[in-house]
Amino acid sequence: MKECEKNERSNRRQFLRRGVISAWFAGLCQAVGIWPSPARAAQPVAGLAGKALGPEFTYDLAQLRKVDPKLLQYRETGSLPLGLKESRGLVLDAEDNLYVAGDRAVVILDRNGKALGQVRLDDSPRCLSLGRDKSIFVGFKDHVEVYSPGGERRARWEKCGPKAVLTAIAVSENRVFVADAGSRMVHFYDLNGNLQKSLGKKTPGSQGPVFIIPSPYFDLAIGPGNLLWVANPGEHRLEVYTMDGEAEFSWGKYSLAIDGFCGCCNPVHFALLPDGRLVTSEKGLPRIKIYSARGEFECVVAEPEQFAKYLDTAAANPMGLDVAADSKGSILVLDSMSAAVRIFQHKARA
Amino acid sequence: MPETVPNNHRRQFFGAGIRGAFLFVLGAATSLFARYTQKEKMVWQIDPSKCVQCTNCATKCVLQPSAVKCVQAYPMCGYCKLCTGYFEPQPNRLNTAAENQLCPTGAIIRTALEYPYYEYTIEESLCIGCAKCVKGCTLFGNGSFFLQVRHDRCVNCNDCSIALACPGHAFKRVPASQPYLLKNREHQA
Amino acid sequence: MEYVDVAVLLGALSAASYLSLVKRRRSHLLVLSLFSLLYFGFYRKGCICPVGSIQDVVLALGNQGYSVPVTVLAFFFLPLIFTLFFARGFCAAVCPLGAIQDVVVVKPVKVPHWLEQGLSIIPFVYLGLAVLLAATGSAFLICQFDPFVAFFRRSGSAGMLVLGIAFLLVGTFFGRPYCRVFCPYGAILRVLSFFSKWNVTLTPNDCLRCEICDVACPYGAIREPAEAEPSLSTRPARVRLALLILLIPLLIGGLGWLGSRLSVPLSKLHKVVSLAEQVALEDANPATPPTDASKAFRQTGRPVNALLADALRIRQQLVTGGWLFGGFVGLVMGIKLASLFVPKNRTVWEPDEAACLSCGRCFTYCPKELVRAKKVQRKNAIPLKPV
Ligand code: SF4
Ligand code: SF4
Ligand code: SF4
Repeated sequence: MKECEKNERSNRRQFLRRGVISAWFAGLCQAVGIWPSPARAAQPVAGLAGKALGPEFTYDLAQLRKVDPKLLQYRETGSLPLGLKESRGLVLDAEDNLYVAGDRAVVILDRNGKALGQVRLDDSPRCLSLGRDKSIFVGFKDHVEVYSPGGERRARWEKCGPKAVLTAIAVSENRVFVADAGSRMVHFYDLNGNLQKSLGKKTPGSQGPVFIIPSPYFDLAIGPGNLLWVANPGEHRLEVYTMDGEAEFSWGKYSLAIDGFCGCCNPVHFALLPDGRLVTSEKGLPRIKIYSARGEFECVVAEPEQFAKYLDTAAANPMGLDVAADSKGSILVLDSMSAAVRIFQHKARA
Repeated sequence: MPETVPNNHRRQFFGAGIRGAFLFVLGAATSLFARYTQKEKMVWQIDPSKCVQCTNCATKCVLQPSAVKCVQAYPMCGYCKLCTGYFEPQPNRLNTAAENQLCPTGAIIRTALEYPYYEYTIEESLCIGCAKCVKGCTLFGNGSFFLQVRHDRCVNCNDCSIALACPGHAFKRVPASQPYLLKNREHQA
Repeated sequence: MEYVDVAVLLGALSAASYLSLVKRRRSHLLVLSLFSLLYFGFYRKGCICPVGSIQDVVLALGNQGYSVPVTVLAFFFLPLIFTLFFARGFCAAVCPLGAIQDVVVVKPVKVPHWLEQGLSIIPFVYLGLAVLLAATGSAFLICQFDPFVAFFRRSGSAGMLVLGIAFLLVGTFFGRPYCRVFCPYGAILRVLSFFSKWNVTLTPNDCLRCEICDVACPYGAIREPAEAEPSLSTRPARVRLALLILLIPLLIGGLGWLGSRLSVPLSKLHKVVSLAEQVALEDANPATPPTDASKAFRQTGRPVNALLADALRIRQQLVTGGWLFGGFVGLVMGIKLASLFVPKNRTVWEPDEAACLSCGRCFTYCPKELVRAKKVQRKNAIPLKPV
């Protein structure tokens, strides 16, 4: 009995002693600042471990993946597989044969996808265009090469400069226009590769650069009436110049809404339809749309959802999404991620 | 030290034998491991090319706020006026008003440079690593915003709890002398 | 920095050994354990600790891509070597997980001997499982269920905090629940300590059999005298022991088979396997909603077959590993069972070599030990002499 009591007492004593030790310990922790104190808990940023984030933390474009079906006037009617790991440029010749620049080659297909030939290249091409005689102008990172229709190299032009990143070529009767995203200029060459002038140079009086190119996308094309169309993606604008580089007019605006160009820098590619209208292609929210030559939004060719691979990729600046129009007005889109050219036709005509 | 009970001789002998055996095993194991060891400490890092911007980095770290922060790769940045990592997808105005900013914690600072360029810097004390801006920048822009484990904060858990949850399997151990997996221009098209 | 940690570890281990075996003072050990709690726990944030280092070491063995840093290796081996000579001083005063539980012991209850013995199997099972999962790169189980690291970092998920608080609450009446019932490193230390050169002893030569040490020990580590039971002198007793020993291979085989059956559920813990299962499920049934991980996988463009092959390889590893794991558990159980029937020739009350955590509480209670300490104190005191 007695021992029991003693035990009890000693336990109580022990308990008290532990209390004192814990208090001392807690005080010590507080003193060296290693125990959560109210001041620390009230940090400007909420503690998040293990908790879900509020809706303000989601970057949600889900609603923009689809567009109003009334506006979507084209339908995908087929696709031509390419067998290229990556592809960047697409043009059509007058007979609607396709020329695709990708990997280390230019692949030539007829409109039904039958292979017609291939031009092997030493380096990865970035863009291409066709001359009147069907010679092939291929743009590499910093220079242009010219190939005969049969695939022999005719010329290798000089480098465009240390910063050059060539992204588009257009060939007129007597000139070659080269878009250089690296130096943010359009270079004018004669057919033999002599540089005549460059558009977009910063002049002393100007406010800043003419072309604002935040990412390596900078497209141009020649339209009816001998006009040079240039995309100015940083300004979300299409600009029109004469063949001598005089500014004519421009249009375009930023908007996530369907009639504008989205993101920081769009459109990334465009092409002219035989009737002079434009088909544009955007990155980020990949959407293909048709505008009149004066810039009125007309309709949608393909909605973002149709390019799910581009929407979901974790990499920035995906390749592809170049556009072209055939002589009958079908739209062809280069889908590098699916290694195919996808064909869209107007619903009324299809 | 008090002496042991004398009748324990046999046990002592037996114990010494086993102890010797254990010591041998430990020694052998150590020398075996000499093959696998390395001087350097390993730390956790995110491979930016695998990150799918899922927000787990903000919520799964044992620290709050997370040890993961957004960083800016200046050589890749387009210095855009309309930064899709800075602005709400549909901003009213391209100014620094809070309602136009994408970052919920206001951790990105926009400074005007020479026309038409703007510089975007991350204020790390405010960033919680939610990757929202990374998503905006990667989807529309050059992907110069990306997430990294900041080693001034990370306590380098033996088993990183974000790594456990990372859907992109983007976390890996890297040598402590090169603790960051930076993006650079070469990754750009 | 890491080398400082190793130096502190070495110092703390030496101090703990000295204090528990030579100086024999509870108060000193307590101070040392508080220091370790502050340093390894709150200052170094509980990572890396020897308990978790098991997994790094094993992962390095199983995985050519991962090599353990020298410091981690030191954290793993140093306490083992110390324990082989100086018993579990590490548990008493160096391990921060032990220290945090040690300070919350308020009113320990006695657990029946059979329960204590039964529970002491669990750390071995946990150890086996943790090794298996770490070797296959599936998970770091010990770290995922480390109950106290959330306190050390002063932040963590709600689940971790709840687990930690639960352990501390249980710890108020069941001393050191993690150490005694779960700690996988403790399982190794238990074995090494059993064969240690020096263990914590009271005063074996003049034990009064007053049993106060048993009352003092909050961890149920004091064993009563077993008066050299003549248990093996009868035939049935010998037959029983022989049967038990024969049972061991059966246990190994049976549990090994069970262990290999575990490969499928266990493999789900591996990220690659769970991803492969999700992808396969989606492919079989397109209505399955994709997860973030499967979406991310599809973006990489990696062929599904390669993923499935990886997953199968991991599962196969887990089958082999499962056999080994089960066999190991069987062996431990068999030895434990047989050891219950091996006669002990303990004649006095003394701490169990394996279970004693060297905390030194019994020193402050054992009357003979107090007398001994007093004598030492008197001998060392400088005598006051009149000038
Ligand atoms: S958890 Fe992985 S995928 Fe998600 S944001 Fe972090 S690094 Fe990116
Ligand atoms: S959006 Fe998220 S990741 Fe980007 S700066 Fe803000 S808090 Fe950091
Ligand atoms: S190692 Fe730990 S602290 Fe570092 S990022 Fe991962 S969870 Fe956060």
